[in-house]
Amino acid sequence: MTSPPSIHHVLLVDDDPTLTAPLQEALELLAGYAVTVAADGAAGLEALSARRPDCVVVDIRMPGVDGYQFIRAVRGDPETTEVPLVVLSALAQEAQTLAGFLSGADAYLYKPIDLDELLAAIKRAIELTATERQQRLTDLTAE
Amino acid sequence: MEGLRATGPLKAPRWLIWSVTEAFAGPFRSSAAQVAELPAHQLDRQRRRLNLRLILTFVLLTLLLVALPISVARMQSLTLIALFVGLILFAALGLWANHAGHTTAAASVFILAVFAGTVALAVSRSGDSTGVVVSYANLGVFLLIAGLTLPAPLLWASALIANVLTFGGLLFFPFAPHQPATGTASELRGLATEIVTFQLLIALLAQVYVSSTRASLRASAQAYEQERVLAALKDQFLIDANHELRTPVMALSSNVQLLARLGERATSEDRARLLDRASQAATRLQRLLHNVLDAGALESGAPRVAPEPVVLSALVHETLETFDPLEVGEPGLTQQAAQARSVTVSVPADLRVYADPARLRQILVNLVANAIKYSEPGTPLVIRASLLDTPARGGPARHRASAERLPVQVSVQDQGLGVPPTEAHQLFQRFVRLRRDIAGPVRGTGVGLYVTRSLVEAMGGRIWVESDGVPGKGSTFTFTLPAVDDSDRSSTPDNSQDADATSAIAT
Repeated sequence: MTSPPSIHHVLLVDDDPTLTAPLQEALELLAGYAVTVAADGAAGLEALSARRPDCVVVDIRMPGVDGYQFIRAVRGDPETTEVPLVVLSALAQEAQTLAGFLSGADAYLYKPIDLDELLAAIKRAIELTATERQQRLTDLTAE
Repeated sequence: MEGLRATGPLKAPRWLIWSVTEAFAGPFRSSAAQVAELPAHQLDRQRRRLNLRLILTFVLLTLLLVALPISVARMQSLTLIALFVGLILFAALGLWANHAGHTTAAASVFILAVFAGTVALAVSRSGDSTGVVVSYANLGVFLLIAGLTLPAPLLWASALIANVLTFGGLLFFPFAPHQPATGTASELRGLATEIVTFQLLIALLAQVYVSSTRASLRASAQAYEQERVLAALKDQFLIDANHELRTPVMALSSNVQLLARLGERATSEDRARLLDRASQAATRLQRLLHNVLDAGALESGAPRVAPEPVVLSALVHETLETFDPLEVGEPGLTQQAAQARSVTVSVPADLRVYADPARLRQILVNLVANAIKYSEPGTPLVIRASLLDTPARGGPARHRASAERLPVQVSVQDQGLGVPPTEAHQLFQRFVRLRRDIAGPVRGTGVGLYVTRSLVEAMGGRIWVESDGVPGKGSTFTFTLPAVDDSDRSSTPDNSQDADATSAIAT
């Protein structure tokens, strides 16, 4: 395992503590990320403005500000518009996935997912450049 | 051009055949979707329209293919041939008006014209009393047609007109040339009464037929609608269940995977923590599966239960232990105390119920899990039970044994979102979730309370909910079960020991 040049910071936004607890530990212990947990969309936006993370892993179905609203808020703010966003949700229908991508997610993962796959998706999202992201969104809306 | 000419004459008969067969098959064909979607009055209009099309097509074809050729071949009078041609045009006009949506007008004109024609024919006959009587009797057939094609009030109006014409034509028409030849006035009076009764009977039969058709159409529409609603609920259930199962599976697998990846690096504390979380997730998954599988099994009949005397307070405490201590609160654990709830259990230590212990545990798990799910973390829960001193009433009749026992009432009270009183009665039905929750963030499948109700009823009890529907004031779910009386106690002598053990746990 190669250690990252600097410690990346990941924000985990999910209202289910039975899930955030093991995920936080997995990201910290297996990949060496620094992890902040927010229990819903509003708390997530607050955490985001306090400290800009290198990647956000966000659930869709949450009380108050849901995942779609969260993503649109992040992408709509020039300060945070470049932040890599990975959706991790149990909503696995095609329309829901598409809505996630159209809101501006870089990846849409379905629960349950293998820890290795989750870590790989976060790594890819962090490495995604702004041009690549713009190109993907253009491709998607063209469909 | 040549191609068109070649196919032209071939196409015309096919179109004609289609039109004719369509006219004959129309009244006997109906699609479920159409029956369900058209409002009752439009459905009835559609029925009358198809009936009139069939009748007029039949009349037109008979005149055109049988009556007209025969009268031409026999070289009958020009007046008769002209009459047939006139009738053919008349029927064609009626078909057109019916097609344009003027069913009632077309049918009324058709019926009245037949009546007028009949009277004219009868009056013009001389010395032929039998033919005249038969003509008036024939009006009954046209009353049947009126029943099939006109709205009910117009059917009775037609019947009245036919009655008046029959009486008037046979008895009172002053210049009727047949009158002297038809015999005595009393004979005519008798015939007129018979014909009129016959006409009224036909009108009544037409009315009965139409009413029963309408009733069965309405029943089909309702059945179709119910089926559609249930299918939609089932679809939603599949989506919800799919969603619901994914989260605990992920919680379970991520803890186990983390444990495996950490390997030697994990301390014994890490191991204990991860395994504990994994087992909590597994419990959650298990509860969900129980309900989903039971809901499926309930489709094929009431659940099987094996009741036995159960010490209630012991079972309540056992059940509470399966919940996450961080959620329901446990004196030893101070971690995340802000989220932990106070759970008050007020169950007499010696109170025993006659129930299937596994099923009773499932009932309690469902009610407590719901109470937790629909209320803020940290808000208190209260579980109460008491022996009622009046026998159970209104329970299912098949539980004769339970009706003879006094009921024990068990309730689970929370301070959560509550249940809107308008939706409370639907809450225990299959796949039904509150409107608030379908769009809301609280997850669920809509089968938990349905399974719970089925289990309670299978054990001879009832379940209900009391709530103002005001968030924060919460709701109280209460169910009854038959109590264990003294005769049970004497048949199971070692139960007194259980009761002692329970009082120790209950304190």
